[in-house]
Amino acid sequence: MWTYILRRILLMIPTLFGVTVISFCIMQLAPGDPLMTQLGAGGAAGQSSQTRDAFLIQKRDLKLDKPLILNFNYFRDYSSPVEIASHYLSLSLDEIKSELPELAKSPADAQSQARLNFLRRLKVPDLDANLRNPEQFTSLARKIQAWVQVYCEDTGLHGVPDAIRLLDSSDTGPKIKIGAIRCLNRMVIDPFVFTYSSRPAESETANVIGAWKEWWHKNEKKFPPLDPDRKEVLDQQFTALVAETDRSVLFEKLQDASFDRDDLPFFADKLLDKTSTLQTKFVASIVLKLYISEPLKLDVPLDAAAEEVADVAENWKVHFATHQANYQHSLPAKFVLVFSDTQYAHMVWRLATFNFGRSALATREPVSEKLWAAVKVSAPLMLMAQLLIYLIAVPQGVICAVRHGQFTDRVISIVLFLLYSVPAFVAGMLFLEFLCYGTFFKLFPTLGLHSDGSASMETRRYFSDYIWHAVLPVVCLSLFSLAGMAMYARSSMLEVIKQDYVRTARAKGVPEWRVIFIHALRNGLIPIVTLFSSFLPAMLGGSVLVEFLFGIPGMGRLSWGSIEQKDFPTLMALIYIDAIVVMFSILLSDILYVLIDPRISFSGKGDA
Amino acid sequence: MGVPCGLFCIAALLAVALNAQAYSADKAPAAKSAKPSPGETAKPAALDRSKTLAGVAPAKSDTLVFTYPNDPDTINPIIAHDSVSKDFLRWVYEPLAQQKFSDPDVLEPALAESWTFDKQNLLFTIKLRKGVKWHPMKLPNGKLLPAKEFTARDVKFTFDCILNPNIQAASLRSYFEDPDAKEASQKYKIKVTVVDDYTVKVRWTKPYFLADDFTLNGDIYMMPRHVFSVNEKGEPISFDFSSKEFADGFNNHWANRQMCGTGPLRWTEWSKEERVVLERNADYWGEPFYFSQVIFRSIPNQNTARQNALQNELDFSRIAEKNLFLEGKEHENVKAGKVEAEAFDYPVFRFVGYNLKREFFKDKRVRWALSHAIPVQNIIDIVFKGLAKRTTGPLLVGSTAYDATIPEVPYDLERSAQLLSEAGWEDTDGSGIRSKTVDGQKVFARFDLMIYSDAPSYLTIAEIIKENCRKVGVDVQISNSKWGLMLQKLRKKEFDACMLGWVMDWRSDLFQLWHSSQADVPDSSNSIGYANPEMDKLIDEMRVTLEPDKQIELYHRMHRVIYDDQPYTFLFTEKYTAFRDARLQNMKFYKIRPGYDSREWFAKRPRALAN
Repeated sequence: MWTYILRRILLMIPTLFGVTVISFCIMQLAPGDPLMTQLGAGGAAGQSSQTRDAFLIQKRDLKLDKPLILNFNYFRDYSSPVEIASHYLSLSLDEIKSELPELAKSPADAQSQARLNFLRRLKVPDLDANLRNPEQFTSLARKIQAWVQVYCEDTGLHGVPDAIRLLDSSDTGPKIKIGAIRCLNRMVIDPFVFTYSSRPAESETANVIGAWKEWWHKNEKKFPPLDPDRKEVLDQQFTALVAETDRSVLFEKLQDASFDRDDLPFFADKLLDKTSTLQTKFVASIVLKLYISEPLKLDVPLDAAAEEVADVAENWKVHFATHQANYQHSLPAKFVLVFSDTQYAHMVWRLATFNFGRSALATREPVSEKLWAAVKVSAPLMLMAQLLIYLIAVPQGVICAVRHGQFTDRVISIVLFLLYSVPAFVAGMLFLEFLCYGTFFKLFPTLGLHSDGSASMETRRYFSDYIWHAVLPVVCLSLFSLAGMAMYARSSMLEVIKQDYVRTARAKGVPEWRVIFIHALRNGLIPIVTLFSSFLPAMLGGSVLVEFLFGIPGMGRLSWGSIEQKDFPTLMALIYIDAIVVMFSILLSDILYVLIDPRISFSGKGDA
Repeated sequence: MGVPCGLFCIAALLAVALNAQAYSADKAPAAKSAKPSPGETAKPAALDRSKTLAGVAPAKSDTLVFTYPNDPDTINPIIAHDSVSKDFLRWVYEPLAQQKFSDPDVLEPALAESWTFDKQNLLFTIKLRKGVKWHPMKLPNGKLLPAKEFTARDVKFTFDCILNPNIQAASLRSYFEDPDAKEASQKYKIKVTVVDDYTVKVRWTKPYFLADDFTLNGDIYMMPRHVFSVNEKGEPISFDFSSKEFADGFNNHWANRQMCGTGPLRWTEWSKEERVVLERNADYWGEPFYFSQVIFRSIPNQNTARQNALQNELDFSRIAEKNLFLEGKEHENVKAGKVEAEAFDYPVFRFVGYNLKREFFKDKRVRWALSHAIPVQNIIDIVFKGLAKRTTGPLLVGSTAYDATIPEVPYDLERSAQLLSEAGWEDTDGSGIRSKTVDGQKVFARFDLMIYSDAPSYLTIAEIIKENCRKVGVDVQISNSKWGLMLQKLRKKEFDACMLGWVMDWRSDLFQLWHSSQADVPDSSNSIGYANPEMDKLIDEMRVTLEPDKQIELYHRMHRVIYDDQPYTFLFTEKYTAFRDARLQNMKFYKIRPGYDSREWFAKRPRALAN
C-alpha cells in the first residue's frame, strides 16, 4: 500500500507541472496583463518617454519583460540594432525627419537598408505608408523616436554590453555616443546605488563605494580643504552619529543634522577609507546622499559637449564594471538561462517553493495572506453546507430506498429533482427577494457574514449573529448537492436492500429497524463515505455567484476578482493549491475505499 | 459597479488625467497678486469647533452609511487613483488647500494657512497651519506610534514620495514632469524646500498653468512622514527617500490598507469586501463632522444595494441604471417620504470616438455627418429618461472653461447624407451602403463600434446609432468587448470607433488626450490619434499661461477647435442618480466631484444600526 501511495504522490509532480503549463498558457491568451489593467485605468502608461519609467519598473518587477517559456535573448547579437537605436536616439525630431526621404526611396546603401529593416522589425505602425507621404514625416519621426525607445526598454540588460562597447570604441562618433548613453538610460533603471539599505550589509559595499569613488574622483578638486578645527567638530558629531545604535533615532538625527556642503570631503573620506567600519560607511553614505542628489550624471542632452559625453560615458563604464556579473555569462550559464529566465520559470519557482510572492495589484499584498483571509471565510461556510448535505441527504435517501415505489418515495424524489434543477444563484436571488429585502419578509440580513460592530460583541452573540448571516448562503450552497447526494444514497441503499444477506436477516426474524440500520445501511454507506474526500476541495472552492449575491468575501470572489484584474500571482497560487488539494483528496478517497471495503485492495492486478 | 464601469475605469484614467484639476481657476492665488485670494487673507476667520459646517452641533452618536461595489487595491492617497478609494480618503486626508464646492474657482486654505505666489520666480511660499495633529496610528504589532504634529517636513516628504520614480504614482508624477526636458536630471519641474517647521517653498522651474493646483490641491493629500517612512516594526524603511528600497517599502507599505491623515474623519477599520469604517476625529482642527461614524458597506450585488437603500438601511446609495432608478422611485418608501430620490449633475461625459487613422474617418465631413446622424436627444429621452444633458466638448459643462455659446449638433439626417456625398461617399451599387474608391480600391462606409459589454445602456445606445447610421447609408457593426480587451484595442489603436466616457475636473490639461505628440506614442490616451496643429499650439500656450482670463479664452478656443473637428461625437453628461435616507438634511449638490459634501450633512434622527 505504501508503494502505491508513494507512486501516486510522485505522479502528482508531472500532473502539477501540466496544470501549471496549461493554466499559464490560458492566462497568456486572455488579453491584457495586470499592469495594463492598472495603468490603463490610471492613465499612466500612455505618456511620453518619462512616465514610462514607472511602467517599466513594475513590468520588470513582475518579470513581465521576460519571454514566456523560452529565453533565447542571451544568445542574440545586439550589436547592430543597438547601434542603429543609438543613432536614432541621438537625433532630434527634425534630424530624423530629414533622414526620412533617404529611407523613402528604397535605399541602396547598406546603412540605410539596415536602418529600414530595423524599423520594420520594430513594427512601427504604418511605416511604409507614411514613408510614401511626406506630410506624415513629422508624425513618423515621432513614432520612430517612441518605438526605438520601447525597443531599448524591451532589450533591457541584453543590450548593455553592446552599448558600452559603442562608448568604449574610438571609432564611434560623438553623436552615436550620445545616442548610446540615451539607450543605456532606457535599458537600465537605477544603475547606481549610492546608499546602503536600511540594514546595511557588507555585500553592498562594492556598489556603494564604487559609485562614490567615481564621484569623489571627479569632484575632489571642487572642494576647499577642510579646516582642522571644523574637522574636529565634525569628527565629534560623526562619532556620535555612528555610535547611535537605535536606527529610528539615527534616522531622525540624520534628517536633523545640519552640515555644510563644504564638509562633504570629510564624509567622503570616511566612506572611502578602507579601515572604516560598516556602520561608518553606512552613515557617511547617507549624509553624502542627503546633500548630493545626483552624484553621477547618467543622461546627456542631444547637444552635449564632448567633455560632458565623455564624463557620463565614464560613469556608465563604472556601472558596467561593477555589475559584470549581470552582463557576462558563461556558455553553460546561458543555456540554463534559456529555461530559467522566463516568466514561466519564475512563476513555477515561486509555486514550487510555496513562496507565492506578492499580488500584482497595487497593494502588493502577500498572496498567502489574501488566500488565507478568503479560506477563513469560505471554509466554515462550505463545511456547514457539507454537513447539512450529509445530515439531510442520507436519511432522505434511506427513507426513499426503504419506501421504494411508495408515495413517500415519489414525493421526496420529485422534491429532490426540483431542488436539483434550481441553480444556487437562482435560489439565492429568490431567497433575497422573499426573505431579505423586506418586499415580503425581512427575516435575514442581505449582506455579509457579520453585522457592523460585531467585533465588539460577546462570543455568544457573535456566533448567533454569524449563524443568522450564514443560514441563507449555506442553504444555497447545499441545495444542489443535497439533491444529488440523496439520490445517490437512495440508489446505493436500494442495491444493498436487494442483497441476499438482507433477505436472510429478515428471514431470521431480525427486527426491521435493525435490518435497515445495522445490516443494510452500513454497507450502503460505503460509496457515500468515500465521497467525503470531496470535502477538502469543496471547502477551498467557494462559489462565485452565491458569494457575490450575499456579499461574502470568500474564495469564489477572490478567484473571480483575480481573473478580472489579471492578478496572475494570486490566480496561479489558487490554481496550484486547488490542484494539490484535489489530487490529495482523490488519493484519500482511494485509500478510504480500501480501508472501508475489504473487497478492494491495492495489491493484485488492477492496483493503479 | 456594473454600469458605467468602462466609463469610470477610463474615467479613472482621466480622473487622473483631467480630474486632478480640481482647483481654482481664476481666483487662484497664483493668478491674482493684486486682490487677496482666500489663501492670502491675512487672518482666517476664527473657527467654531462646537458647530459643524452646517452650523449645527455634531451628533453624539450617529452613523452615516454609504455603499461601494468593489474594494480598491489600495487606499494610499498617492498611489490610489480610483473613485472608490477617493471616497474613503476624501475626509481623512487633507491637501494644503481645498477647492470650494460652491465656487470651484476658489481655493480654500486647509492645511496651509496662507500662501503667496511670486510670479516672476514661480515660487510658492506656503505658511502651514500650526497645531494640526496626525491621527493616532498603531503599528501592525500593536505598538502606538507617537502622536506627531503636521509640519513642513510632511509636505516635503509627500513631494519626495510623488517624485520617486519607483513609487507607483506615475499619473500624479506626470504633472511635475517636463516633456521638453533635455536630460533625465531636469525632468521634474518642481523643487520643494523646507524653510522652517511651518513654512515651505515650492519652486517651479517652468511655468505650468496648473501649478497652483498641483502645489496646493490637485489630489495631493499630505502624507504623514512618521508613518510612511517606517516599516511594520517601526524602523526606517530607508534612509534615502529617493531610493528604490524606500519605494518598494512605500508601495508595499503596511499603512496602505489603513489611513492616517489630519482630516475630520479618521480610519478605524477596512475589512476587505465587507466594510470600511471611519469615525469622527475628536481632535480635528476645523469644524467637526456631524456624524460620529461613517460606514462604507461593500455591496457587490446591485440589487441588494438598491433594496437596502429603499429600506432605509443605507443613507446614500448610487443607482447607476436609470430604469432601476425610475422603478425605485415608485417604491412605497419613496412615496411615503422615507427615502428621497436624487438626480444631480456629475462631471462625466460620454462620447463616440473615431479612430482618425481609419480611411473612413479621416474626412471631417464624415465625422460631422455621423454627429448629425446620431439622435442624442432621443438617446437621452429613451435610454436615460431625460436624466442627462447634452454637451459639445471635452470640458465640464457649467465650468468657466466650457464655452456655452457653442451650439449642439442637431439631429439632421438630410444634412448628414449631404455631407457624406460631399465627402465622396455614395451608394453606387444600390446596396444601401455608401462606398468610395480610395487608391483604386472600393471602400465601404462601414465601421465597428466598440462598446463596453458590461453596461446594458451602452448596447441600447449603440443600437440606436446603428439604426440611424443605416438610414444615411453607413453600416455600423457593434462589437461588445470586455474591459480588458477594450483597453488593449484602444491602446494599440486597433478599433474603428468606440463609445466611452471620461470623468472631468473643473479645468483640465488637454495635453494627454488632444496633443498630436500623444497621437504617435505607443499606449497613449489619445487613442483616436487626434492631431491638429492649431490645437497643439493652443495646448502648448495654455501650459505656460498663468493669467486666468487668458486661460479661459484659450479653453474656449480649444473647445471651438475640437467642436469644428468633431473627432468625437459628444453625447451627453449623465446625471448621478441616487437614493438617500430622508433623515439627511442640508443636502446640496455641486458641480465638482463627488457632487456633494458630506461634511455639511446632518440628520433629523439618528440611525438605528441593524444588520
